Amino acid sequence: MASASFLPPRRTIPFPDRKVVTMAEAASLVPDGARVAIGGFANYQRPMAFVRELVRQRRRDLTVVGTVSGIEVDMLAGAGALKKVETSYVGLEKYGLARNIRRRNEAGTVEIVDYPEVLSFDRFRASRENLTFWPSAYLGGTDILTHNPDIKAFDCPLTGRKLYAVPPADPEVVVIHAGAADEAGNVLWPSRRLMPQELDLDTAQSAEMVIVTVEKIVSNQFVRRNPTLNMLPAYRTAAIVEAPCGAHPTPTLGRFVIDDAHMQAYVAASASDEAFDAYLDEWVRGTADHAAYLEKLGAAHVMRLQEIATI
Amino acid sequence: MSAYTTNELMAAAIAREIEDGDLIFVGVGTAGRAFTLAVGLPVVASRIAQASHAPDASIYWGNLLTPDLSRMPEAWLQDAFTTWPCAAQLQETSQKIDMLGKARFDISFESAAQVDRYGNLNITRLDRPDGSLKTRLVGCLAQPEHLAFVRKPIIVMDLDPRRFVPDVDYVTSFGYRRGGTRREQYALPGPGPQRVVTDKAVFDFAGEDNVMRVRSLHPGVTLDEVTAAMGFAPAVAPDLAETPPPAAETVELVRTVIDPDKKLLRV
Repeated sequence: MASASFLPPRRTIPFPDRKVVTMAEAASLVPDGARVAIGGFANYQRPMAFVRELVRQRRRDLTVVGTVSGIEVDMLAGAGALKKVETSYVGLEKYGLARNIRRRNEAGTVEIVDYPEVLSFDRFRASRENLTFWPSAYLGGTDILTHNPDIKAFDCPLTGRKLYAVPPADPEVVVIHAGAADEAGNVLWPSRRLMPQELDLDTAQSAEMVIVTVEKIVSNQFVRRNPTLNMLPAYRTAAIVEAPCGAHPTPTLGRFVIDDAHMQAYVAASASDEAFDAYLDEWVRGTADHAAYLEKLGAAHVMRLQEIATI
Repeated sequence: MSAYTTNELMAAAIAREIEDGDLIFVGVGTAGRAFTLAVGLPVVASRIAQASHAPDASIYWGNLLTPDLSRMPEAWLQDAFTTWPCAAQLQETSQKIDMLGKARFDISFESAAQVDRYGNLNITRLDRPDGSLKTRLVGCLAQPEHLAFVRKPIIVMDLDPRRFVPDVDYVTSFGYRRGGTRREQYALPGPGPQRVVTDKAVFDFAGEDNVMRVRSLHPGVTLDEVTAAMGFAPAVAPDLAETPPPAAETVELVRTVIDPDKKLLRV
């Protein structure tokens, strides 16, 4: 008889009783202390409206498990919502270092667990396949090992080679931002999808509780006309939230480019706890919800962020 | 204006290490000098090589295979990588990383906050003498994989005694040796770092212990200047040479075709 006893312990978070929920309802599905994976890559297509709502709700002690992390982790760190991040990078690419998390890590209030980039992705592969670890052959000699007691050395039972058992990502909750979904919870991927969208799909396979914020909720008829784009069918999603421009200030494929001016403002604000608190007061805690945030950004500003890569 | 800049000299020196047909892995850098070292110099060097002795060298940049380098993006962000014309844009993350794990990449470029005589690299954290965290750096990225699997990793850094140190605070990526433990013990498929190209000299790793060794001095630079800029004494090649300056047509190519707007070699 199948037994769950050999699986890693997972807290089961109850699903909402309907698919389409408000952002506040969706964020309340993430309890204090939860282990969360956040979609996107570097500073690309992050579900930032969701992250802002976590901050509004004053979530605490989150662990984020990621691959190449960016502003989403830095904002949670700066808001005091983050206890730990397990990832291969936290930074802002051309905007420089992620200063909130750096400051908090150096002060000892946020823990960073380092994994090489490929293994940080393999950890999600392990979760997808319900494996209790992912084997690695190349960590020998590094301080990734000496600083991380969760990675265990073992001898390959077939070859005798020294291997390292890397723990799976095992997020309790995955949150991603996508283009469209219907009320049943089918999520459509763009036909021209790129590495970050594919990574979101990988990430979404690693947990049961998958929350998807979308640019627009579309009809089920629309889904049925585009079944090849339905990469995340309803049975794989727990909650859908409509959040137009929901990745701002990061880009969304085919919809919005990065908001360079806002990123610059973010970087400037992240120079100190006080300045970043003022940023959060103005842009996050000072806006009641995502609609109020968009209102504050202004229609003219948002419209200038439209992506027109092809006509 | 002098006949060439240090960046142009470094780019030409890196270009000479690239062979025809090489598959070159380039990362996505940050800003300032770090960007020049991690992205600017590698891309310029790759194009110099393609224009001269290595027409079939290919660049894998981010997840783009052979991006159109005559049309550089406006901003160096993942955003730009989604719309840049290229030969192939592999969506599936595992396609690229499995290639890395199967040692399909010939060349990679590494910069770091610290490197030691055995080519161990640190991009993760700087510590106090008692081992407690002093300065948090970016993490690991895929650098441990580069040093484990790539055929010819090239370290690109400016000489500085705070960066070329006797012992790195944290080994993000393993070079040749640490304490008494040598690379062979870990059965890593790749050979380890092959070159160090700096602003003053070019190094290799030589001898039984694979220690960092000065191979050539840039024109006008003395050995004393090099060792004064390092926190450990490097070995010195018996046939210590001068780094060949870039040919006039190479400099012309960089300034007029490859990087006319100085997006790549700004600082």
